[in-house]
Amino acid sequence: MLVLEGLHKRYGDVVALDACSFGVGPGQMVGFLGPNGAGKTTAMRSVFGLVGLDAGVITWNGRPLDRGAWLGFGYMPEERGLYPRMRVLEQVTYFGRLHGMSRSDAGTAAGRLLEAFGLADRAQIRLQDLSHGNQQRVQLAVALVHEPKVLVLDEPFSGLDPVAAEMMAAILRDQAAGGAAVLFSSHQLDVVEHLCEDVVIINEGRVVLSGRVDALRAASPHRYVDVLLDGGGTDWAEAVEGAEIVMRSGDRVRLMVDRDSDPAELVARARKAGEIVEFAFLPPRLSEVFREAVTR
Amino acid sequence: MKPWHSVLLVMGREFRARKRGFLIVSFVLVSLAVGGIVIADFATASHGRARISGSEADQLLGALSVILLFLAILVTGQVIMEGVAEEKRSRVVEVVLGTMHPRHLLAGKVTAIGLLGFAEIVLAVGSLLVTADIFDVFEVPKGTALGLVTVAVWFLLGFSLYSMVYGAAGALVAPHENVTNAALPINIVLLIPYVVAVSSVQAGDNVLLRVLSLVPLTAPLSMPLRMVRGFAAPWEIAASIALVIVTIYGLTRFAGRLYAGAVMQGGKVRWVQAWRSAGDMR
Repeated sequence: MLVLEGLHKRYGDVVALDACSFGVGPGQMVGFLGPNGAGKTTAMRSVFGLVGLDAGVITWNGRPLDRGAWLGFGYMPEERGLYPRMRVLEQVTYFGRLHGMSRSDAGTAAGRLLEAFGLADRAQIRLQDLSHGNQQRVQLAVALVHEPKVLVLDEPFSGLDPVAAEMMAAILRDQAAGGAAVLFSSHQLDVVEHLCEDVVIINEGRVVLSGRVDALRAASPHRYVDVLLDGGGTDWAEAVEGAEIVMRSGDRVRLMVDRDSDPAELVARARKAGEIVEFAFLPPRLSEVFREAVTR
Repeated sequence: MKPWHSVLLVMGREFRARKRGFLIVSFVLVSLAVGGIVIADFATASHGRARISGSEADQLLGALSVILLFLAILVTGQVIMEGVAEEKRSRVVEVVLGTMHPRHLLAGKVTAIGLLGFAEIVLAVGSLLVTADIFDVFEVPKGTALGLVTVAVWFLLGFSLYSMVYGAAGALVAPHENVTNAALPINIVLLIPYVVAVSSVQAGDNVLLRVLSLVPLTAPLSMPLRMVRGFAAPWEIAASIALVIVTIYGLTRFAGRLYAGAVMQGGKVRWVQAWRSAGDMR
């Protein structure tokens, strides 16, 4: 279990981490979410000793981190980077060896990963000659080559199209299923809410929410109602007592209501205004849970 | 896995990455050396072998030693800076530092580039002497062996002294920036003893040269001349080398910390800033 406990870090007047604490267990895939500047990158860098903390400890299986522990971790930094002129296979092998693998083990593992990522025919090409997407895959291969027990990825989904993002998520789920503790960050809360089960949400250096995505959404005191009427407009919604209009455009309206509201009653009100094309009664999205948590 | 293992892996990567450049430079150096001698042989064919001896030989050896050392330290220094800056520019450094201390990354890079630089000097000077011997163009002056040993020792000392500083300077450079500007202050410090030494080749020993040869930062380019010319008293040589070694120790720690503090930061980093943020690292 990777545990971050009471992390504090200031850069001058800027507080990056303020008593930030959470943990990731083996086999768990945790989304580390929060807006830009919330302290995600600082926390992830501190896992690798790349940031000197003002206070706090990070432990792996109860022991403070040392070189031996780091070698068993895999890291994909926010600012991606590899040796531009190094050949792909050589590059992945090199990073395997930096993590303590023998030359032959690293070579075999690198070859297998490149095969799995569809890069087998690019193995002898220099990194700079690959497309952006393929460079990203090599970056991921570098983080995975030594079969890490802990995998830390900073914004792995940024810049990926939905298909590539789903592929990335599948790879991370595989890693977790294989027993690795997987921690990845994202500032796009709605993009990742269906990609992982557990989340830690951070704001201004503090953990504001953590737990199962479904539980967090269900625990909200609010429900959201999406209604699309066939030519009925949205004025009907103004008359619903206890409801707050979150969004309206054309015939579509999104309402925030109390958790105990009766959907059937809302359906009835909407039907009076026009024919229902769409109706949904849902717990808040992760971004809405977050907004509720920080504005509370 | 021990730290030295990481250092060796870094060195191995540097060697592989620089293999091609090394071969090209070596080819050029050896061609120049051999070609120069062959041409000299044709030019002097009717006059028999050239003989350089006495103070003329000492002067020539002294001047060549200083020029060779100056170029060697300067060029390897720029290569180190560019290498460090490139790792920062491509941002690969953060991935590498997830596995090792910055100090070990810098040490591996510096050692590998230093060895390659040294090998190139040996190749160039070696091919020059061997060809000269084969074609019998000039008689190798008596003091040559001593001169070569002096150059080798002072390259080692001078390189150790300056390489880490060049490395730290490379880490301060912003990604889009050229490394030349950041190298300038260091190059100027190297230039002072070079100019004084070269202008002292004919004039002989003087107070300024003597002082510079005892100051650690300027000793690598002034003491060799005094040694080759036989100006330096044994105690002066011993003191100079001892001071340089102490300075290497201090400067390596200082530059290592600057490097660690600067290499992870995105843009241009000031010296003071790098020093402060280095307290930040593990």
